[in-house]
Amino acid sequence: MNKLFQLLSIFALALVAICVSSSAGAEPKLLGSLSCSATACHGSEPVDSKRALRGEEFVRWLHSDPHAKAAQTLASEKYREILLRVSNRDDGQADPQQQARCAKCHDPLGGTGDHTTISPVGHGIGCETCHGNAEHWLSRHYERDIERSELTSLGLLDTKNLHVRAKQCASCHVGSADQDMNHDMIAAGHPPLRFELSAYHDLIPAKHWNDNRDRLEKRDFQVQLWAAGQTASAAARLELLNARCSNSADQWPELAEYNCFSCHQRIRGDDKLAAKGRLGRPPWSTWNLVFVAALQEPNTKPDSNALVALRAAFSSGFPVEQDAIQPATAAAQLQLQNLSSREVGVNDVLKMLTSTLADSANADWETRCQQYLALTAAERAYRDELAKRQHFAKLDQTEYNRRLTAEKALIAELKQVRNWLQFETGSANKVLRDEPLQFHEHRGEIGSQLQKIADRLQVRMLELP
Amino acid sequence: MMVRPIHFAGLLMGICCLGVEIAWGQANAQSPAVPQHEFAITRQCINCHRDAIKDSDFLGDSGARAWDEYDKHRHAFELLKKSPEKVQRMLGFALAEAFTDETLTELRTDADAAIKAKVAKVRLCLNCHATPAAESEEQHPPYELGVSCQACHGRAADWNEPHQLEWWRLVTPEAKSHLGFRDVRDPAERARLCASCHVGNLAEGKFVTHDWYAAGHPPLPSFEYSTFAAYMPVHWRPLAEKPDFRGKDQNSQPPRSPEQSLASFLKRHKIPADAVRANYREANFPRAQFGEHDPLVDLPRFKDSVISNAVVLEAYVNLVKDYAKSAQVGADDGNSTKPMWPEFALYDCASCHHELRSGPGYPQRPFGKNAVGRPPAQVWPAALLKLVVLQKAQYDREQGEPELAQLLKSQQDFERSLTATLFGKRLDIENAGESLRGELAQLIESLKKSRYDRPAAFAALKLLTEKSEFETRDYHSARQLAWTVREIKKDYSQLPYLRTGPDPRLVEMERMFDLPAEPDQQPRDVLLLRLAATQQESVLTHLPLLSKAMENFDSAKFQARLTEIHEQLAK
Repeated sequence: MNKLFQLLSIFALALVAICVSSSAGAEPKLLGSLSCSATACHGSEPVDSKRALRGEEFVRWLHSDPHAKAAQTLASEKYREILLRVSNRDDGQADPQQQARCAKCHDPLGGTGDHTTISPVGHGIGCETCHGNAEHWLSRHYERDIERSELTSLGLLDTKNLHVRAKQCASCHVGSADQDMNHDMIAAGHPPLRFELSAYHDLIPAKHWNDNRDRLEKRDFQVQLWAAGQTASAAARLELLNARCSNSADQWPELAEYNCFSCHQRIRGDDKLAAKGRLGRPPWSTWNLVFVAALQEPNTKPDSNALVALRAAFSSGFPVEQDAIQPATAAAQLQLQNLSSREVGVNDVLKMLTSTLADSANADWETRCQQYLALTAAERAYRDELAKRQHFAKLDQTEYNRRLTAEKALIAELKQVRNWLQFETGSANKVLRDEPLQFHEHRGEIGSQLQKIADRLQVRMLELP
Repeated sequence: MMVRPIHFAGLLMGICCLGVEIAWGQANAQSPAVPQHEFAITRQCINCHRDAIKDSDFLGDSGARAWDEYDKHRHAFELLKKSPEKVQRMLGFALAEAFTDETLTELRTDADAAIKAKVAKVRLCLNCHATPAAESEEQHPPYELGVSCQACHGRAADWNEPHQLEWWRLVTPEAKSHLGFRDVRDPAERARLCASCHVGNLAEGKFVTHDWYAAGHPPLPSFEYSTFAAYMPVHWRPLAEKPDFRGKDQNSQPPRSPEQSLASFLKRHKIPADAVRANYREANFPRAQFGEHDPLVDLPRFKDSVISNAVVLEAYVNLVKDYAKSAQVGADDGNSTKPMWPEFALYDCASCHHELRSGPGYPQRPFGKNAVGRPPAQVWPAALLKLVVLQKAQYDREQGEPELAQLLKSQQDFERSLTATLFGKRLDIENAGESLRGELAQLIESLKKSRYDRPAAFAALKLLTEKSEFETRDYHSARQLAWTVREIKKDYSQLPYLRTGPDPRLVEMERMFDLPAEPDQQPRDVLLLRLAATQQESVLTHLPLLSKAMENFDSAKFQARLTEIHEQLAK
């Protein structure tokens, strides 16, 4: 048996070698999620739903990961309607080109977007969508002493590296040069993309992986996760923008680049709201970009900040000229590439938050949401730090409990802000006419409330032993 | 907040220099602006028309009084004074800066370019909020009178004298118009006049930009002439309700003026002798054109409503087409000297300002298989196109079908030209707009001669309430339909045109589209068909009601109500 295994390994290795040499530069092949699902590999039944163990990945993914349902989404009636609407053909049929567009994110395994026959694993988003096509690494990744670097050179994506992970997520959840979920699609019924990595982690119940070790070993893991998300989202956003402004003139401006609620708002007839920028013209969406300027190296002067320049170019009018945006985007992309190595902690986030709060007196809903999400990540990181202090016996149980109880008030205040930012109950499935009503009522106080919470968190961080 | 201070003014000057064919506010832009006719003193109009004209068997008794005391047009300029902050936000400077003093009586005439720019921009407000005068004119109706007599009836210096004589009613409208007198008895001419402000007219410098809306200018509602007139209130009587005035049908001779011969009088006033006809009918509705049909007894609201529904589309198409022709492409940095492309105000407001749906449903917009995600043409101006075409065919479907198909095709081509790409391609818009406009102008000409009697009104009501004949998913289109049904129904039920007091039948008719907002509530005006028409009511205070009506508009309930009305008609 052992011998057979060895032989097989050698055979597989040879195969890999052949493939690598014969198809240098070509995309490695997809082998499908069933390659991973053997009980002895990643397909064992979960023991405890709250605590992911090695070997349970496939089953956890299959049962509780929303990505596993991507194929079903494409088989739904709603998908069909969106597809037909965006196709807008006189014969009422679906446009295969549009179908292929959807498939890029919803069906990377099947690749066709054609879901007349549904196969639960041959379609949709599977293991290799995030971990990399397995052709070259499948037979190697379980070798006892193999180096992570070697596996990554074979195409396995190191999703433990938060930047790599964030980049994978952002390619669909924000977009990329050839994954463009634009305003035409939103108008056809696709929900707008509002991605933030740390919040989206919460959307996956019973994850198929476990970050606990990193939370324990790394400083301020939650904040690093957030920062990786911010950086990767901004990079993806710029890559997408670069592609959009390089499109033909017919496809410009792209309305999805703008803040939805600058156009989609009630005709209020009151003029109490001081508009930002030019009256009557949509501002560039700040989603994904609120903190990226602050995440730049602290020494960067504002006037040398390419992103600030890009934002200024957008606010110069509507529509901005493609020729003006393209070089500004390219420059901002270049600048962003230098970001990924910087490690940020809770205190950095609180500092950044304070600086963005200072110059956003009348911020829109998008900006406020991002500020709230940043503060939430920082607060979670603080609680992780508390737990670590207790774990390493730097805090006794009583003191730990006292601090944790004190934290409840702060969490409640954060929750209050969250309520203000939330759309009316059930509206996600019904209608949105505007920014949330509550947001408008509390528009004036959200900023100062966030600042207050940030200040208190700062004090608590200082009090950590 | 940045508001471009010299945008419009610069735009005017820019166009002058570049010689662009259609200029924004051409009348003001061309230099030197020499109007064809001069103004008469408005006080004189009011002095005579304030009370009953002695011995007149033609005129009502208090035209100017109704205007002065009840008509909102009288206060159009005051509105600007009442909301200085709003106006300042739109202009980028205080209104008073363009005037010589705080009373806002005269515009400044300084040579300074910055002042000139401000004055030119304020003129764009005055084009609709006052009786617009040319730059060179010192003598003009006071701005504070708002939209006064000569804004609609024409500059009166040349016709003030002759129009006081009885034989004036024997002169053809063409000859009168040569003197500057506008033929507001012509329903199309009249509706076009209203539509120039209420819809917009680029060549006359009447256009509310999206910048202005964003700064607080209330949205222009959809416009149906007869309803708007009913709420004004009117200071005229329809021909159908005029008593038999002298010279109506019987031939009458122009009385000899005591001082001079008629011939010399006509000559002095540049009225050709052959423009004076034997009687009123021959001057205005010659039998040679109308034959057996007596246009003097046409149902006035019915006629006005049908024609104005064609005119609003014509005005809208013209506006979009002219804008597409004159606009410039490029980034609008707020300091541009030209009308910029795109201009959001040209498109369907509700295509952006609508409820967003996410999850299992999304709005039905855009209608008519226009590409999704791109603002389409406004829906309401074309909402009753079918009624208009079928009126011409006297509701004979078979006869009207070819023209209807042709017009719907042109209308669709025009719509598609706006949505073929985001905001549309300007040259395509121009071409599609021009052909649609041409077809509409022809249609309107023939509608003037169409027959507007009770059988036709009945057929129109049946058609309007028929299921799935008209677009009723759009609030403004539904309101346009409801307004039109009400006006035609009033005529069909032979209610008097003039309100002389509370009339229960009229009250009942105006409530025909009232519906309960909630199942257990009393029916009320959920569509907000009522207009803020009195001088005490403001469009601004009305706006929250309009917002609510738009938000709560229930197309299915409206359709159900139409069906009920349809069934009642059948009985």
